[in-house]
Amino acid sequence: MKLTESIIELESRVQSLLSEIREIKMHVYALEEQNEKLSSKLFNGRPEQKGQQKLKELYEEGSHICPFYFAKIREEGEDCLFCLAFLKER
Amino acid sequence: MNISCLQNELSECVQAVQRAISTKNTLPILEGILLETKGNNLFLSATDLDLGIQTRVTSQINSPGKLVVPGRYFAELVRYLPSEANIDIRQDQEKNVLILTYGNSEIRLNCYDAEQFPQLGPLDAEIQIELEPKESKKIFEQVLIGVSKDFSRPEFTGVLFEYEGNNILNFVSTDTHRLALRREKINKASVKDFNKFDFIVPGRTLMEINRLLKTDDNFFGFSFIGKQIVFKLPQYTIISRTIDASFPRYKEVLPADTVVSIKINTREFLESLERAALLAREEKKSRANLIKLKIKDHNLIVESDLTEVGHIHEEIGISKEGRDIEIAFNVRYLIDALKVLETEDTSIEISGSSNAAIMRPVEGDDYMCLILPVRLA
Repeated sequence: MKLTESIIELESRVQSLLSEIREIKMHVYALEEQNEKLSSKLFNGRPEQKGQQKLKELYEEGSHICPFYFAKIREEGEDCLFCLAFLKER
Repeated sequence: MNISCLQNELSECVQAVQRAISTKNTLPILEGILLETKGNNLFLSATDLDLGIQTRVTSQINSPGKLVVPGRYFAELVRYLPSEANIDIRQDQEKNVLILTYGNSEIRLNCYDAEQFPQLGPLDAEIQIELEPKESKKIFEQVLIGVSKDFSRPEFTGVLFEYEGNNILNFVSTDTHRLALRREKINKASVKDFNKFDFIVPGRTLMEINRLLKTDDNFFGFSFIGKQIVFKLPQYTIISRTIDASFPRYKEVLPADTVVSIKINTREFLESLERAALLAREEKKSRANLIKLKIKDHNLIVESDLTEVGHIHEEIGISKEGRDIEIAFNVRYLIDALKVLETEDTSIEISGSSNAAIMRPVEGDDYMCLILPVRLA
């Protein structure tokens, strides 16, 4: 009886783990898609000439360009101290 | 174990340590509080492996012992025991049960296996850096306003402790929209062993310290060993993991130029902002908490409006150096900074309507809060 209960418990844990994996998979898929989109925007053209401009455009469109949150959408469109410093530096 | 102590003393200590109890249901033992007798004291400890708090209660020790009680139940039960009553705590070792006796009544609590309770770390470490308790409370308040709640980037959820070898200890925090920096001169003798160091202390740890540190405490200090930092207070020892990440190069974001600098009465400005904040509660996120500041001649005009509700316009006299300017801010950031400045007048240095502004006390240059404005469309 105890063994059956353990197996049922284990089964339920595996199911919950599978459901978490499914969620993570969807999240990774969305991130990959976003990354592809941003990379194509960033490197479309000659990077040495257009990289800076593309970064600025990405920032103006509402994405972070600092190393900490790169490509993450800026919350509520608020500016980021480190993105601005990054743009100024170049 | 067989001891007796006073309810109010026990309750105060239990309430303090229970804040380190784990809320994540990972290891059941971390939901417990370790009770352990040493000399004439009952030591209480709790930890979630990131933060640990230990304190002691003066008790009459009839026989020594060690047990781990379920933290939340124990804390609540002790709180509601008859006030200032004498409490007897006994252990039924065979059943690993704690027996609390008061008057003719008793409570029995099933305990965890005390041997499974994790070691808290080097709690006996000597203080390496000593700070003034009252000033430390103020320092932590001033920098905690800049700590981020976004745990995806742990470096922003803590405060940088930075020593560069000049008897000045820097405390820095940033959530990427604002940055708080406090410089504190420290006793040369206490840093003689160090040329430089830097580490990030979780904001949560400093919040707990500020809860437990009293302005009239007779000492306060810390020491660090590996990736752990130990804070010593007269009544408590707090151990915390430091955040294993690099703090951003914050000096690069400090503006070099100022186009206008004003001095304003702190209280008058704060009260005006509190009123303006009431009419800055737009539902649209990009306009939420937005207020406009206009520096014109020798006045600061504070304005905010809420669609379909109303508009506020206030003028405050200022002293000014530089040109007139219009700039918008998240009013919450301004209010947070003004609340921790604690000086009669505040200096605000603005380097452009889309560049960060610096707020600092007029007297002294030991604190600054850098705030990014909101760009108006």
